[in-house]
Amino acid sequence: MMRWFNKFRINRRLWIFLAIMGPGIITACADNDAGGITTYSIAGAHYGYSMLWMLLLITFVLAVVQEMCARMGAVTGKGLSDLIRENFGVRWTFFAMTILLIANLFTIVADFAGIAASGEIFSIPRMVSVPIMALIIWYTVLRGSYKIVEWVFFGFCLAQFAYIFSGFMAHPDWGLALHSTFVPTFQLDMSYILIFIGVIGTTITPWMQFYIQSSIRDKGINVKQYKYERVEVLLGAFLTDFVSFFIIVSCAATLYAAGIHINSAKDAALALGPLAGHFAEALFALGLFGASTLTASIVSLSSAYAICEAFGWESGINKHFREAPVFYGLYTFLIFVGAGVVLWPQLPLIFVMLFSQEVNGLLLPFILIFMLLLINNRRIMGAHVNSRLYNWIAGAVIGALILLTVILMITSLFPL
Amino acid sequence: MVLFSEMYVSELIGDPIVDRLQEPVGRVKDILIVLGEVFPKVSGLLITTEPLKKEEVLLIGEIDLIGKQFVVTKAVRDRVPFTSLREGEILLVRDIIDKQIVDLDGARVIRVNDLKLAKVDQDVRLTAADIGLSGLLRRLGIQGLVGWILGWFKKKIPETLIGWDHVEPLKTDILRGRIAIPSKKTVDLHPADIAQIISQVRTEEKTAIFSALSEKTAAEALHELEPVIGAMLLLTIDTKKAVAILEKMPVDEAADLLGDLPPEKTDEFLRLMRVRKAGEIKKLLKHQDETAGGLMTTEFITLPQNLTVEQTIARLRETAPGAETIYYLYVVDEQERLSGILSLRNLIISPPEKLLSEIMIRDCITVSPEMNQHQVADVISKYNLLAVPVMDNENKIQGIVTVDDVIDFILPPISRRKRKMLG
Repeated sequence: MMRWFNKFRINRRLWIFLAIMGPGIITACADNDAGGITTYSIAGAHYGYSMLWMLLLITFVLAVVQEMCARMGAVTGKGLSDLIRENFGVRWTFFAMTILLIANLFTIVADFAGIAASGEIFSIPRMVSVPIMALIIWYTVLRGSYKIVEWVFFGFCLAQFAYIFSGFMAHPDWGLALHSTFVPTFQLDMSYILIFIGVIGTTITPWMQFYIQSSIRDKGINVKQYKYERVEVLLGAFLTDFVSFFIIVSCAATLYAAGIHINSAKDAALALGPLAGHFAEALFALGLFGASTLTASIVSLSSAYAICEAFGWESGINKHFREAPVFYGLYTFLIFVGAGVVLWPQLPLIFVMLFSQEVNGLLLPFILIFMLLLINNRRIMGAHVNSRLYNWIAGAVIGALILLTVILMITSLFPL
Repeated sequence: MVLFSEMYVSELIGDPIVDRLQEPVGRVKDILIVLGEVFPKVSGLLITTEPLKKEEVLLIGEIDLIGKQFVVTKAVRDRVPFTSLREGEILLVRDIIDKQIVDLDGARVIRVNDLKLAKVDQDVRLTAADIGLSGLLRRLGIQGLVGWILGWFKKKIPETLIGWDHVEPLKTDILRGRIAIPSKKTVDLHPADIAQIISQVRTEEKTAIFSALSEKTAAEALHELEPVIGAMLLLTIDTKKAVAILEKMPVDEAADLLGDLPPEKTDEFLRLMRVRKAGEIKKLLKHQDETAGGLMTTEFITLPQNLTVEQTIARLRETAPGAETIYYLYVVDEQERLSGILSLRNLIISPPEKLLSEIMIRDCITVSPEMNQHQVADVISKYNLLAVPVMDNENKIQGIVTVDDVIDFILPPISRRKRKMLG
C-alpha cells in the first residue's frame, strides 16, 4: 500500500493525513445515528430554530471533548478504559463500565428502533427487519469483515447529506435561523429540557469517547503525528454538526411551520419533502437505516472491547470463542438484547430513540469527569495536560448537564 | 517479627497501623518492594499517618506484626522512625496493580487484579499475581457474597494465580521519560513470542522491548510483526542498530520492510548497508509487492552440473552459505540457465561419486516474477514444495519464494488472523 503511494510521489504529509483520516469521519457519521436524527428532527419540528444556538455551542464542546480523548490516545497509547482502570482501581472502573454499558445498551436499542422504523416505511414489519439485521451485524462483524461493514453503511449514511439540500429548498427563514444560532433562548418546561439534554447526549455520547481513543491507539498514532490527527478530529466534529444543523433547519422550515408534531418516522421524513418530493420517505429511510446499522455494529463491538480491556479479559475478533468468552458473550448480549427490546409489540419507536439519547445525556457527565481527572494528571499526560480553557469548557458542560438534570427533576416533581 | 503466612495486597491496603499499646499510628496506603530477586522482597509500607495525614515510609524492620486486620509497629507511637519515599522506588498499588504485565509462559500481556504476599523465611515477598475473577471480586468487596451464591450451585470462584517467577512487569513513566528495559526474561523468549508481546503493548514499551533485543532476535521478531509496527520500530531505534538488524534479515524480508518506509529513509538505510546486500535489496524493491518477484529472496544456492555428490557436500560445508534455505539446490548450465533441482535429501542418500546431472530432477516447477502471490501460494501448496524458483524469460533464476513467505495465504483465515496479531 505504502509503496504504491511512494511510487506516485504523493507529498508525504498529505499521505500521513490521508492514512490517519478515518476514525474522526466515521465517528462523525455514526454520531448522527437513529437517536441523533430523531432528536434533531424533534428539536426542529417542536421548537423551530430556537435550539440552533445550542448546537453551535455544542459543536465547540464536541471538538474539545473529542480532541481530549484523541490526545490521551496519542500520548499514552492506551484506551480510555485502560486508563480508568490503571488510575482509579477496580471499584471506580466497575462504576464507569456500568455507566458505559447502560448508555450503550440504550444507544443500541435506539439503533434497532431506527432499523425497525426505516423498515416500516417500506412496509417491512419490525418482526422481520430487526432479527435479520441483528443476525447480519452479529455475523459479519465476527467474520472479521468489520471494515467492509463500516464502509458499506457509511455509504448509506451519505443519504443524510440530503438534509443539506432539502434545508435550502424548503426556503427557511434564514434571518430567523441565523438570529437563533447566535442568540440563546431558553424555556423552562420539562419537554424542552428533556430535548435539550437529548441534543447534548446525542451529539457528545459516552461511547464515542471510548471509540475515538481506541482507534487512535490502534492506529499507533504517536505524539508527533498527532497534529494531523487533531485537524481530522476537529473537522469530524464540524461535519457532524453541519448535517445536524440542516436537519434542524429543514424540520423547522417544514414541520414546525406546518405545526406537525413528530409521532412516527413518516412524520420526520416530511422534512426531506422539498428535495425529494414523493421519494422523501425512501430517502429518509435509507439514511436512517445506514446510520442505525453502522452505529449498532460500532457500539456493540466497541463496548465489548472497552469492558474487556478494563477488566483484563481476553478480547478481539481474532480469538476463538473459548479463548474470549466474556468478549463474545457481551457482544452477543448487547446486539440481541438491543434488538429484542425493539420487538416488543406497539413499542413507540420515536419515543425510544429520543429517550435513549436523554439517558446518554444524563450519564455523560460521569464519563467527562473521569476524562478530566485523567487528562490533567501529569503522571499520565506529561506536558500534554489540558490547558485552562479546555478545563473550563469541559467543566462548563459537566456543570450545565448536572444543572439541567436537577432542573428536570424539580420540574417533574413540581410541574409549572 | 511475627507475620501472617499468606495474604493479598488488597486485604492489607487501608488497614490500621497501631503501636504496641494499640495507639493509632496511621493507615496502609501502599507497599514498597525491591526489584531484582525472583520473588521481590517487601521493604516497607507507605502509610498515611494519623492524625496529621502525612505520607511516610515505614520500613519493614520497624514492624512487629503484619496481620490480616492490622499492622503493629515495634516502637511506640511518637518514637516510630519514618523515612520518606525515594525517586524510582516501586510501589505495588501505584505501579503494578491494575497495570499490565507480561506472562512469560503464555507470551501475552495480562492485567493484574491483585498480588499475593507470603512469608519466606524471615522476609515478606511478592509471590504471585492474581489475574482472575476472584481478584476482581475481592477488590469489589463482593467475593464473599458471590462465593456464597456459587456455593448453592456447588461451585467455587475460579482462582487464577501466576507465580511471580513467570511474569515480568512493564514499567513506564512518562513524567520522567524513563522506561525500564525489560530484564533478560522477556528477551530470552522465542522471537515469535516476543513479537506477540510487542504487538500487545503501547508504543514506548514496544520500542523499549525491541531495543533490548539482540540484533539476531530482533531480525527474527521483525518478520513476525505487522509491517506497520515493524516499520515504526525501525524508524524509532538508533539508525546504526536498525542497519545491523536489517543486515541480519533475509534480503526478501528486509526488502518488504524497507518498502514500507518513507523513500528518503529507505535510501539512507541502503547507503549504510553492505554494498552487496544493499544491491540485492534494491533489485527486489523494483518488483510489485504482491507478486512472486516481490516475495522472493535472492539468497539461494546454485551449482554446476559436472560436480559429484561428494564435491558438492564438501563445497556446501566450506562456503557455509548464508542462504535462507539449503533444502533445495539449483543446478545450472554454463549460461547460468536452470537445468535441474536437487533436494538435500537426494544429495545425501546418493553415492558419493555420482554427478549432479545424473541425480537431479529435470522437470522443474517454476513461476514467473509477475505471478500473483496467491497463485504462487497455490503452486507451492499443490506440489508440496518448500520453495519454488522464480525464472525470467531467459530461463535464469531470479530468486526463490520459500514456503514461509506464502504460509499466510495457505493457512485458513482464523489461524492467519491469529498469527498476525491485530494488537
